[in-house]
Amino acid sequence: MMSTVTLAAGNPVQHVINHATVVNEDGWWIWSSAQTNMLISAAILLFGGLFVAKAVSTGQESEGHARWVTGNRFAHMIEVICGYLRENTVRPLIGKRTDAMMPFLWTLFFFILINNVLGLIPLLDLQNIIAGKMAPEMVAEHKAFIGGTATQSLYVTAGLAIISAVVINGAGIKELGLGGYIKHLTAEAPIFVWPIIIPIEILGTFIKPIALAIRLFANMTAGHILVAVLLGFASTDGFFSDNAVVGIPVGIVSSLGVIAIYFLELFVAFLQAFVFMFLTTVFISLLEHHGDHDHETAHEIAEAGLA
Amino acid sequence: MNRLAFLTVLNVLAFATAVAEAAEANPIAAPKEGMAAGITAIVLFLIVFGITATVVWPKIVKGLDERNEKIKGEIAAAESARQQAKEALDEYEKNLAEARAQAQQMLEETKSQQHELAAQLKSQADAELSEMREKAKADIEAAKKQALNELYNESVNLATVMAGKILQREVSVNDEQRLMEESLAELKTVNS
Repeated sequence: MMSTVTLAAGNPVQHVINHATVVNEDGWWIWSSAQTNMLISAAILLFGGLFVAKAVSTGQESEGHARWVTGNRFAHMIEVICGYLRENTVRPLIGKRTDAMMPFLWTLFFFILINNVLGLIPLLDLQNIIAGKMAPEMVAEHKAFIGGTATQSLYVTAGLAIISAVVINGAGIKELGLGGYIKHLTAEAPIFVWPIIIPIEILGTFIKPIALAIRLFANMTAGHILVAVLLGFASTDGFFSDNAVVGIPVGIVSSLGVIAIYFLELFVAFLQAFVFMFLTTVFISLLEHHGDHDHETAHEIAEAGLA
Repeated sequence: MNRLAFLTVLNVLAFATAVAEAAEANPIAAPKEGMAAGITAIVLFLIVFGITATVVWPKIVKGLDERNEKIKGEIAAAESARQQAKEALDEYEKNLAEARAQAQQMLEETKSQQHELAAQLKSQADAELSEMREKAKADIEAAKKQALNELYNESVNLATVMAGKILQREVSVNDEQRLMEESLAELKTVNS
């Protein structure tokens, strides 16, 4: 019976956190599994992007009407996503600036999405199985070359949020001019409220990207920990438990739970990539001339996003 | 039952322990552990953005826009063709209605002309028939007169011959002539 408690006590976070690959003498991680994952994601985005671009491009005239048809179903799916994000999500918010901003927003969305989805593939566990035989010391030291979810690292999400912050404020300065950007910090409030409003607006400038970073990190981490805990139940407390009478039902229920949560995680992977991109667009839209678009709606979305 | 409850409590404790240990192993790494990943994320993203913004997204944008324009153009052309077809149909229906009206008018005229012609022909036929009847009557009358004349002549001749034989004398031409005229006069009286 005690084995149930003992085995379940294995730390599920170990399954989901970033793992060092190369560490220098001062203890700084030079390379980690998350970085390898990001490298793979970048390669997928680049080569996948080139493939999709070729399939989406209009063909030769000799192909007749077929030249207007996207040559591949996967490319068609990406094309639909791109079209939806551009026309239904971004254009209603930032209007004429859409075409200029889309390359950044598409890259942001797909980079996060690929990293999120790649994190759902148990590369770390596969590597541990292989490394367990080939390099057992690596497993013993909790080191890994690949695996985990890059967007589960707060530093990664913070890095992406910093880029978003630069783009948000850069686009705001370009749109409003430096004077207009500074004036925007007053929120057009009466002058006697400025001592309160301006610090709040300046804080908001920093809080927006911080919220972006924490939201993505927290959403990806929470779901993965839940999966890891349920997997722990399914294995150590379940099918591999000393007590089969309790272990097998626990294993079955936990396995079903893992499957359900995995589907949820797949949805969350898409949702969080969308939310990050969408809120970046909303924050861009807030820094423009009032009345250009539905500014009040954008403020409401932004407030909901920060909540 | 007690055993099951006990095991359930143990599992809850196991879950709590797992969560507690998870909390101990902070998923937010120390700067030494995560900084490189953060910098890598920025660098990789900028590289990926730089390349995709040059060779991927412009092609996709071009493809999307060309397809949009093509679809819009095809829809406009279809709309125009539909409008033309509608106009052609309206024109056709208008012409058809005119042709029907014209045909009806022609039919009416033809009927009218037919009636006129029929009436004319009937009138003509009636006239001809009447004329023929009159002529036939006249012919009959003439033939009757002629036949009666011949009959009377023959009768007179015969009577003359018979009277001559009875009287044993020659009946003169004058007697015969007188006899004939008297007979004709009587005949006319009888016929009238």
